[in-house]
Amino acid sequence: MNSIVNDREAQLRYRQRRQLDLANCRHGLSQNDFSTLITVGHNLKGNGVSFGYPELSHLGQRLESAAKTANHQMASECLEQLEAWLARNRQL
Amino acid sequence: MSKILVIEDDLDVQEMILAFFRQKGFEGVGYENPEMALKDFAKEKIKADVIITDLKLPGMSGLDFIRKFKDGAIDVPIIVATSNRAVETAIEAIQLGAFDFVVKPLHFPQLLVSVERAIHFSKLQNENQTLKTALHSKEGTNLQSIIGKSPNFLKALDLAKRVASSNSSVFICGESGTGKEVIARTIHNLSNRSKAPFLAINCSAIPENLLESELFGYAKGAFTGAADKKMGLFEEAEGGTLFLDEIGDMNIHLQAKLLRVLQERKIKRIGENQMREIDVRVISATHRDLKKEMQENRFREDLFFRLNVIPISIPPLRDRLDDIIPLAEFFLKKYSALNHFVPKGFSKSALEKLLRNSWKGNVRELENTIERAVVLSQGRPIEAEDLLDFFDSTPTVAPVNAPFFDLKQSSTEEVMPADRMMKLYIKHVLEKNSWAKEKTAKDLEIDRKTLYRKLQEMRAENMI
Repeated sequence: MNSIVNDREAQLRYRQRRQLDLANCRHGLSQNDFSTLITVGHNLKGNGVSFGYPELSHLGQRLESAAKTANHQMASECLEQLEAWLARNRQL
Repeated sequence: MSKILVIEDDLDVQEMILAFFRQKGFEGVGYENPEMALKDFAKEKIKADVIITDLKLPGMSGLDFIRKFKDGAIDVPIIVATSNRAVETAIEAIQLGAFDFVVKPLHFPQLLVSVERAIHFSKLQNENQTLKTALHSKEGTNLQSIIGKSPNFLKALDLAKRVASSNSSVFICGESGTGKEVIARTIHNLSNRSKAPFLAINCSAIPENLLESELFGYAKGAFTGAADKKMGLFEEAEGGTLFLDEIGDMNIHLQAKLLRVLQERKIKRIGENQMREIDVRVISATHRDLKKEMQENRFREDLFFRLNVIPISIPPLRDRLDDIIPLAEFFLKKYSALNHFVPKGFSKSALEKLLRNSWKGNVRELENTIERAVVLSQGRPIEAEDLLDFFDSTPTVAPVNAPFFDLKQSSTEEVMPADRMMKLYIKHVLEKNSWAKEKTAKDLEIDRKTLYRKLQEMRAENMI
């Protein structure tokens, strides 16, 4: 699927909502509760491309996969990559 | 530009939908909360041509949203988005009045198709409503649209107006072509049944067996050819009015069945045992003298008394001399507009001829006369000659019941093609019936469509 949302303000709002996702996922991981990570990963996979961020969709796919297999280390790495991605794209 | 309203608490999805439709040329607005959307709609802060809503919403389910939205009588198509696991709920949404549902994750081209179909459907519905309203007013809801100022006609009209609000059976008598159906329709339109259907059937134009199935319907397999069940006119007219024209021509066996329906207010489809209650007002009419028909045992007395609760008698046109010119002018305007002419009126001699004629075929004959005169006059004022052929005083028209063709007197050398012979005979019967097409088709035992096709050919061949 190609990008659907090209509006910069909508993209900014989208990235801001991911900060909340990141916080929720970290809390879930600390409790060994992977359900939040599965949902967030699945949603990222689905809508990242639509908002013009194919790399985020890819990241979401890996996060979902790690969470489904309860792979703590891989899930943690994914969240770190998400945090770095958000930091890189904060000013865009 | 079409407007969409998106109700979706997942802001990612909401923004995606809005962005997609903006790219496709739509205007869009999004709501997370269905209550807010309802309030803004009620205050007319927002307008939309189509609504896309999630089924799982905060504070109110999508189904409740549809219920409340429909309760507010807001007529905007709603498309629901649902997860794969909640398709049953989506079907419930359709039953509540939603237009369509789409399954998440959304497939945007499919959603676009659904939105475009919803908007198209909504436009068709609006057009349909507009046309219905126009047709309704054309069909004489407004008493002003009925032409007639002669005292005996006004008396009949006044009676029709007074009985409209009751539920009693009305019996209209009058010669063929006097406008019995117009009066029946007026009664219906002025009654509190006006929002329900007005259905009319000519009992003389349909064979007995067919008339029975038309009136009462039939079950699947009730007879050969009954491939599916069919609702009868009594059921179709539920809450409204059924007009039984030319009831004097109804077969005596069917009269008994009709009487029972009127007494019990229940019908039974042919081939079924189940009785179905009906709420239909019956207005009947005939050109026959029913007293004479009863004396000769062709019409049931008990049915007559059941139908003849309120009798209305429509005077023939020859007794409404004051109405001939206004009616002629009305038809002149009507057929001039249909033929793209500017109506130029009647010459003095044409008016005199119109007033002199006996109008055996009444208003119908007058209408047909003017229609033909408009075509012949080609936009100039109508002269007496344009009216000539229709009058019974005219030698070119065979007297009623005169033999059409005398083989002994016709030349044995001249052979007339069978098709021409048939068309001449059709013309003869039409003239005999004052151009009443339905009666002519019945007399000739041909389908009305066949008659109309023949008339088209005859017009093309300048035979009429």
